Amino acid sequence: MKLSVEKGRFAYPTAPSRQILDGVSFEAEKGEILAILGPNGAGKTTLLRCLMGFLHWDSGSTHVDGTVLSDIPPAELWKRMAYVPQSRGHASGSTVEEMVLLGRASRVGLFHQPSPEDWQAADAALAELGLSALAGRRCDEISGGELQMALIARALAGSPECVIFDEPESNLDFRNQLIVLETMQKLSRKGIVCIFNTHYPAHALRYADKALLLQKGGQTLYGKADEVIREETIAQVFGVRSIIGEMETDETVYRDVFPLAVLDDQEMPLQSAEDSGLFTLSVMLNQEADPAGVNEVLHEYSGSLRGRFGMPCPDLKARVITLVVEAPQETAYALVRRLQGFAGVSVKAVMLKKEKRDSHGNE
Amino acid sequence: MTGGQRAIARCFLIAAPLAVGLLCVCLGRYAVSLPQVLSTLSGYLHGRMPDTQAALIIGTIRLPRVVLALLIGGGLAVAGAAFQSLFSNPLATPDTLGVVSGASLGAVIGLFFRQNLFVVQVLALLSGFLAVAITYLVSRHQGRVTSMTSMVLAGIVVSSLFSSLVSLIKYMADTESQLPAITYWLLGSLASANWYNLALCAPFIVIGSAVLYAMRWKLNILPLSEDEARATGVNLKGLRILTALCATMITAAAVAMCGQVAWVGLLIPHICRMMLGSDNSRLIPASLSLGAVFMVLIDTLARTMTEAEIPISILTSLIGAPFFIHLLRTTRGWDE
Repeated sequence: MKLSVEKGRFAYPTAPSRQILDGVSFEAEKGEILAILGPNGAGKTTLLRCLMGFLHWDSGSTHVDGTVLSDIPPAELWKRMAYVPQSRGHASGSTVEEMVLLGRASRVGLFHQPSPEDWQAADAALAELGLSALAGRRCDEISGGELQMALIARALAGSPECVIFDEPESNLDFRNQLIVLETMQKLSRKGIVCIFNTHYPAHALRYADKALLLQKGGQTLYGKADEVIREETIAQVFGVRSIIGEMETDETVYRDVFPLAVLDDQEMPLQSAEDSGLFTLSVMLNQEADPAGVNEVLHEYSGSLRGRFGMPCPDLKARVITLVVEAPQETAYALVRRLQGFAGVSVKAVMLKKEKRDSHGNE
Repeated sequence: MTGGQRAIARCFLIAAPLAVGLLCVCLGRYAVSLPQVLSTLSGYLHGRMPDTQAALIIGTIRLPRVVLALLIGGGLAVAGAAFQSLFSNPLATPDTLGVVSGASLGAVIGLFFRQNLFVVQVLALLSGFLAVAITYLVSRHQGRVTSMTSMVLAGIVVSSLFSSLVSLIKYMADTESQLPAITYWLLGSLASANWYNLALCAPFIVIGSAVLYAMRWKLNILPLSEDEARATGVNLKGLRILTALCATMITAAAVAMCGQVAWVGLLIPHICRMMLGSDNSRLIPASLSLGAVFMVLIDTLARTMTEAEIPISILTSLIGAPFFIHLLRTTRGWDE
C-alpha cells in the first residue's frame, strides 16, 4: 500500500484563523516507517485524524494507492488500514481476547457473529506479539505496556497493510517503549506501512525511514529521517538545543539525540526560512555596549531596514533602538544573532506573518 | 468456554424463562395444575377453544399475562444493556432518552379523557416516540448530533419536561376517579394483559429485541472511543441510530402496556455484567433470559402475595435494590 497526503491544509472551524496544518505533504510506501514529530499542541493527532478521514482537509487530500481516501467505503478502507490509539484511558471490562477480536469488525457483517476464522486471527495476532498468556485477562487489569501491545494485536488481527499509531510509546516505561518500537519495526519488515506520532526525536531518528516535523503554525519539514532530524531543526521545532551523537556497539552504530537546554523566545530560531516577513526588533544597549559596532552591523543590513528609531535614556545610562525589518526570516534571524553577539546588547524580535492569500482558495 | 459449555448455556438461557413461565401460570388465587396448563396449551395448538373454567383462566388471563411479563422483562433488560453500551455509561437506562416520561404523558392524557385501554396504549406509544424525536432534535447542533453526552443531556431535559406535563395533568385530574387511575397506572401493572393488547405492542418488543440480539457482537464497538470505533470500518452512525431506535421501540411498547416498570433495565444488565463480563455477545442473551425470568417472578408475586395487586415498580425496587447491593458487595462490582 502507498499512503500519501498532498498539500493538506486544516484549521478547526471554531478557530479558522489558526492554521493547524498548512500544506502538509508526505508519502509512505510498503514497509516504510514514517514518524510524525512535533511538540505538544503542534497538531500531530489532528494530522493523523485528517489522514484517516476522521477530520476533513480544508484543501488537499489523502490518497491510498492513488485513490482519494474519502472515496473508499469505510468498510473497505479499514480492512486494509488499522489504527492503534494511545493506551491511556482505555479501560474496559472486556478480556484482551475479546478486545483483539474487535480488530476483525470490518470483516464481520452487522447482524453476524465473528466466525471461527475471526477467532483464529485474533489468537494468531496475540501469539505473534507473544501475548497469548494475556488472552483471558481483563483489559483494565493489565499494565499500560501490555495494553498498548494488545491494542497493536487488535490492529494486526485485521491483517492490515498500513497501521497508524498515535503516540504508541508515550505513556510507557523504558522497557515497554522499546518493546513497542521494536514491534513496529517488525511489522514494517513484513511490508506493513507504519505511521506513528511521537514527541521523541530520538525514536524517530532510530526507527523511522522518513520523518515529518510539525511546527506550531502548521509548517512542516519532511524528508528522510536522518536528513530532517538535525540539531537545527530540533531547535526550530522543539525549542531545545541538542546534539545528535553516535554510539557504537559491536553490531551497529546508534544515533541518539541529547537534549541540552531549553531555548527561550529570543534564541528560538524564527520559523520557515522561505518567506520574507516583517519584524520589529527592540534593541536595548546598556553602558557596556559599543554603539559604533551596533551601527556598523545595522549599516550592513540597511537594505532590509524599513524604519529605525533611536531613543537615549540618560538616567538609565541606556539606549533603546526600535527597528522595522523586512527580510527573509533567516536574514532577520542572522541580524538578531549578530546584535546579540555584542556585550551589553539585548534584542527581542517580533514577527508579523504575511497572509498567504493566494494558496487558500485555489486548491 | 468450549463449544459444549456454550451449547449448555444456550439451552439453559432458553429453557429457564419457559420453565419459570409455565410454573407461574399455575400460581394464583385459583390454583391450576401443570398438566391442566399443558393440556390447555396443546388444546390451543390443535385449535380447540377452552371449555373448562381452569382452561379459561389459563388461556385468557394467566397465559397472556405471563407472556407479557416475559416480553417486558426480557425487552427492558436488553434495551438497558443496549443503552449502556451506546452511551458507554453504566447508569444509562431505557429512559435515558426520555421515552418513559414521553410514553407516560401519552397514557396519562388517555386516562384523563377516560379513553379505553387501547387508546391509552396507542397514545403512550406515539408520545414515547415523540419524546425521543424531540430529544434527538434538541441534541442536534448544526445539523448533526455532536456528542453522546449532548444526547444524554437533551434526554434529561426532555424527560423532565414531559414529567412536569404529567404532573400538571395529575394536578388537574379529578381526585375521586381519575387521579387514582393515573397514579396506579404510573406505578406499573400487568393486570391489563390480554391477547389484543399483546398483539398491539408485542411486535415492537419482539422486533426490537431480535435486532439487538442479532447485532449483539457489534454493540461492543459502541463503548470504544470515537476514533477507535470509526477505525473498525463499521457504519457507526447507522449502528448508533439502529441501537437507539430498537431500544426506544421496546421501551415505549413496554410502558404503553404496563406503565413505568422501574429498575429492570438497570438491574438485570448489571447483574449479567458482574457475572459474565462486558462482552455483549454474552450480555445480550443473558439479559434477555434473566430479565424475562425476573419479570415473571415479580409479576407472580405482585398478583399472589396479597388480595389486591401490588404495583410492579414497588416490588422491582424492593426486591431488586437489596439484591443488587448484595451482588455489588460480593462480586468485583462494575468498575468501568
